[in-house]
Amino acid sequence: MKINRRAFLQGVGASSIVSSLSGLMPGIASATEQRGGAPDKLLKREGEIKYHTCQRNCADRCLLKFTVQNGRMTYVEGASEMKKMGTSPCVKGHAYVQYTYAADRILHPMERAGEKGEGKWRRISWDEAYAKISSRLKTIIKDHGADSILPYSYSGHEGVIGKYGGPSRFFNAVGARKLDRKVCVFAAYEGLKSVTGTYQGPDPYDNIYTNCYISWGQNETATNVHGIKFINQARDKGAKLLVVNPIRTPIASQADIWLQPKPSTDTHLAAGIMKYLIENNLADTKFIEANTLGYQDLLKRLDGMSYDEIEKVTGVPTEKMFKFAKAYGESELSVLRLGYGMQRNYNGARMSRAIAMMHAVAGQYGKIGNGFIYDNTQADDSLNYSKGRADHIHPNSDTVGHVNMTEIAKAIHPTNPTAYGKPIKPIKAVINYNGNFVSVAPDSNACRRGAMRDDLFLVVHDFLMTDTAELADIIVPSTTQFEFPDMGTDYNCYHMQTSEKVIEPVGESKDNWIFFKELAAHMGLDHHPELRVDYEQILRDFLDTDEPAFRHNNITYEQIIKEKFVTVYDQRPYFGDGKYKTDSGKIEFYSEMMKDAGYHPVIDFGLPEDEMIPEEKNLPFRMLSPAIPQRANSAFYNVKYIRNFPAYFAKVNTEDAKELGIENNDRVRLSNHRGEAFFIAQVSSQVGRGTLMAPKNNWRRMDPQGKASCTNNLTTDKLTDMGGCSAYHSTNVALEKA
Amino acid sequence: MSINQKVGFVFRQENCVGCGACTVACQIHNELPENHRFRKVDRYEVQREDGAIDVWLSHSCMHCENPACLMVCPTKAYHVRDDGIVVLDREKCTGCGLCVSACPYSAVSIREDDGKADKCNMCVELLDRGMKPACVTGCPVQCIEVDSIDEVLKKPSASKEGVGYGDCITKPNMVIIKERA
Repeated sequence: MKINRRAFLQGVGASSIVSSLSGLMPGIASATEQRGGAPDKLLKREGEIKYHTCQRNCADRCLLKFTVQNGRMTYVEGASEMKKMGTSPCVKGHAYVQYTYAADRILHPMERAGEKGEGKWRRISWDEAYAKISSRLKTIIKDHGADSILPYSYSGHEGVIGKYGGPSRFFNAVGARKLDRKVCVFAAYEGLKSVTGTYQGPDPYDNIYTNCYISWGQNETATNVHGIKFINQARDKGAKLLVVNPIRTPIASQADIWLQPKPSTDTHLAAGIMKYLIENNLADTKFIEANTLGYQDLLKRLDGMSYDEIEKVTGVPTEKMFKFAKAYGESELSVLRLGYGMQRNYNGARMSRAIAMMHAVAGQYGKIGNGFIYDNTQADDSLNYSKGRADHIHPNSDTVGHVNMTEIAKAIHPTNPTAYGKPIKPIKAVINYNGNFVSVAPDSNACRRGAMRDDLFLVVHDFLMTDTAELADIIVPSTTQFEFPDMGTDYNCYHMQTSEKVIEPVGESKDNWIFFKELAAHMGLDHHPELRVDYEQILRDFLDTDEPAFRHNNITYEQIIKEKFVTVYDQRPYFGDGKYKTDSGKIEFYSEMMKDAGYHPVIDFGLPEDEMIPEEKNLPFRMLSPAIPQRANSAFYNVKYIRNFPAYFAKVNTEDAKELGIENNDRVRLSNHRGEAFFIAQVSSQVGRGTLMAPKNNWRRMDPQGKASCTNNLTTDKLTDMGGCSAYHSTNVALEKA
Repeated sequence: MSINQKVGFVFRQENCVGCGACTVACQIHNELPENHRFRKVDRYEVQREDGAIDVWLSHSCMHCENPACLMVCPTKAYHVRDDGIVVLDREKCTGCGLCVSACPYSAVSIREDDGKADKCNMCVELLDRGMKPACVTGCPVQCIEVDSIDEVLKKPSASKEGVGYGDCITKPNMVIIKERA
């Protein structure tokens, strides 16, 4: 019934409308007056303003402004005085009011009233909750030792108090098992340190000065959306945009050149680009001579690698790689941004190393507008974590066992618990906070089996009934981040930012510090003065640091409170002094560190398939499970407006789909020896042949198909080559129409 | 930009990454039902010489010079302001749906809660106070603006054609800027 559909579509260059964010289920509304003024819509913006930093695990770490009226949060906007933010939160941050007042928030403590996971609960008081938790933990400590208690948490709250300052004081006083929180970045840390001695880099604000921005294994739209405007400023002045990604991300579509390697073949691709630069006089020999070690070893190593072999492994046509290398090599200034996902592979450290080496061959370190950006933890690394967490009160910190959080399924295995490949003493209690391991950790079915153990006491401190909470013995309601004061550091732009308390705790919820502090008192652990302090003291303990990066500007607690955000000093230009942080002080093309780790000291061409068991290696599809823009790990799944955006889909290559008889929106089954998951197919050339993409960390209980599907039913919990990092993307699966 | 200049949306399609922040910012400002959207983001897979790419179109009401909704409305619920913004008086709407059918841009829809039509009014309550619409301030990539259409159309990179969008007889007031593409 369109009056002029033909006219509407004129000039349209599209072949098809593939997907739309429109047309989902109808809902219920309040009436809104639409004529002219409608001043009622503005009322929510009038009130007291609180500055609060988003504490989700995203490099942007936005400083936001919340309006508060009569104790209720009513509106959120970006803190536009911070150029990182501009005026806008991301798609998720816009909905923080809906997040905070979600109808399904847990508002009082609950005790299991049926079998584990049965969903029957009995409301209890906080006094009862404390009595039951402390009594059971004391019994476990008496019978099995304090190291039978395992904390589990990661990035549900990234504030200084919320993440470590509050909870860690409790676990240190208990003497609990140590959780190695290495799920994310650590493989690339090792790979990058082997080249330049650090994983840190230049300030992304300087991206506007570059002639060439290279996005390598990064989807800025999902994980650094506020950085895109700076890339665009550079592009408006003529900078090139080059992208390497096995998935066609939004900026891959906008790139001057996009290379789509097969997943995890980045070492080969970087080697090919280096080879081209060297053979075509685009290597910066002056830079290499002044700043590097082992160049002759690199030349020898590259001699042994042919372009044909590189094309065969990567799937990238040689001519296209040449075009990319030429554009890169001819750029005066190139800044390379490495993503946080690519390193989650069995060869994560080795791939990261090769890419950082490539940037040295191009001579792209040490100037404003060039450099290598991965994890700018300058502010975070300057904090006094030892004091902030009160590590000194841990009674047996030298001897207590460690569990890598990626391996939690193995650690809580019902009959054969292991950690780092060795048998371990059984874990008898898991205290889960700031996390949701059944959704987030790999091998979710095994996580669930472990959590269901009758002899495992599972306490969950959360504000939602998550996949993990539904298996708990006791649930204690947590606040959101907005219900207590904190501070936070970003890992992109060197900022230290305030998180003012926006509202009082909702319902009977208690924040991370109050809960653990009061539990400590019930456990008889409050003889430690560190467990009796207030929020400000914890923050001051973290800020009690002599790190030069932090001290340069005499940054104080009072300054952060007053100014809302401060920029921690760092080098500008980064590496401008030509002093690298390796033992040699040079960029190392030959690395003893890699040799000691058992890999080739120059370039190691190992692939994940080399380490897969045959039954997985022989499966036809590699499944990548990266972030999507409308979720942050397992957060926002329940949030009004955000939950409209699909998160239970699998992107399937058009040709693969054709061969398997799969059409767009068909239900598909993905499977391997770990389990199965059912998703809605999105048929597209966004992924290459043999690659599937399914969003990370979706919840079983939120699966709209009612299949209790989640991506992590399938993912591997084997660790990376170095750094003990997760390797989610080294997962192979079978695909069929369901 | 004076109030008497015709204003419209200016969209840098070459920069849009399809995140949906504009949609949600709009829903929240306008207190819309969860599944009701004034602003939608569509993805188009476009064939180019060296393979397909994705292009996004963020679109809402185009605030046409000759609005089809206004022309067909039997209760005269629509009117065009001096600045060209097409607003709907929902008190006059009977929910007949003629405007929904008439709009060539699918910009009007019937709300489930009260059965009446509703659409983007370019956040006139914000514009009238010197502020910008929720989608404009709510875009983290900064690819939506409102501006004087006549002025913007003087730019060589301005056009009423884009992927998924084209001019039509209703004379929409949306401009696509292609400064690089």
